[in-house]
Amino acid sequence: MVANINLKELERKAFRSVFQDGLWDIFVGFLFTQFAVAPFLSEQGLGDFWSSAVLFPVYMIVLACVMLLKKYVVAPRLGMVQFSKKRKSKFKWLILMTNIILVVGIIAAVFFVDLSNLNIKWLFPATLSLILLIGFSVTAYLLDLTRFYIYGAMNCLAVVFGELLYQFAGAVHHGFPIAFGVTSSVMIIVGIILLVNFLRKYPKPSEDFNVEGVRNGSR
Amino acid sequence: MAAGKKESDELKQVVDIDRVIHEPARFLIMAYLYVVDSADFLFMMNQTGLTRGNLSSHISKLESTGYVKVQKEFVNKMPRTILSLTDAGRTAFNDYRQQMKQVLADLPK
Repeated sequence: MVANINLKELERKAFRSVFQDGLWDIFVGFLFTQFAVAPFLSEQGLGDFWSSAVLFPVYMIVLACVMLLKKYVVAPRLGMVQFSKKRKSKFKWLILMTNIILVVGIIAAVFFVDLSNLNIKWLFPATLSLILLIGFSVTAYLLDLTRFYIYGAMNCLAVVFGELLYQFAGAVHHGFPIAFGVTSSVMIIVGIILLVNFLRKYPKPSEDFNVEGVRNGSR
Repeated sequence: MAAGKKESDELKQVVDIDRVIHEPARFLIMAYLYVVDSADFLFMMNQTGLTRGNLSSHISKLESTGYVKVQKEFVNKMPRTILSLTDAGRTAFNDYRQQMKQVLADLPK
């Protein structure tokens, strides 16, 4: 047995099990609906900043729902685990990298507003697709989640595809509503499928379940 | 004479294998607890695929040997059994791995 067991793979399997509920996929999917919805809100006179800012409370509500579901639905079914220091340091790296990518994204957005009068057609989509690809890839690498590489590639291509629709097929808002409408829907649907599978695979145990093994005579 | 001594050493290596860890279910429990800091009973059951009673009895054995620490605590007013490897358990698991690797490496092809 010892010859076949791979402790790294075992740890990875345990770690991945925490993400098999699909809730983060649903949350990230909702975040990306912003790219699809915000251009229309901007058109209604809200402007570029407020069209995104107005959606912030919605995402906070979705995040709160995710946290509540994690606590009251997922944890009682999956159980609780504390991972090693190495994993915890990877989480810290993820938070740091996410913040850096966010800051770079904001700086790039401000920069492109200044450049909007120039006729540089592919600079904006190329930069955005690169930021998305790097962001998702870093997340996938640090969390050992293969499907986030696919999300990264999908969103990267969505920007290019949207721009093509905008330049050659007359789509509005750089094709974002169509392209990101599709990618965010895919992520939300994948998340829902994972959540349903998770709930089927892990039914809620009886309330006194976790006391097992500590009662006298129960062992 | 020297060959006889070598054979006897190899045999001793096999006989010295830690039988508490050698049982497959207990080995799996130890392996999981080796790669995480701690986990509760439910998580271990889901990961190992062992039944409630089975896991319970193996944990009990590992606890009595001093390899696994069992803590009872309340999380959100719910009782939980938190399991973790003791230092002795970690050392024993490492020793077991080394011994098994050695024993298996010495087998003729």
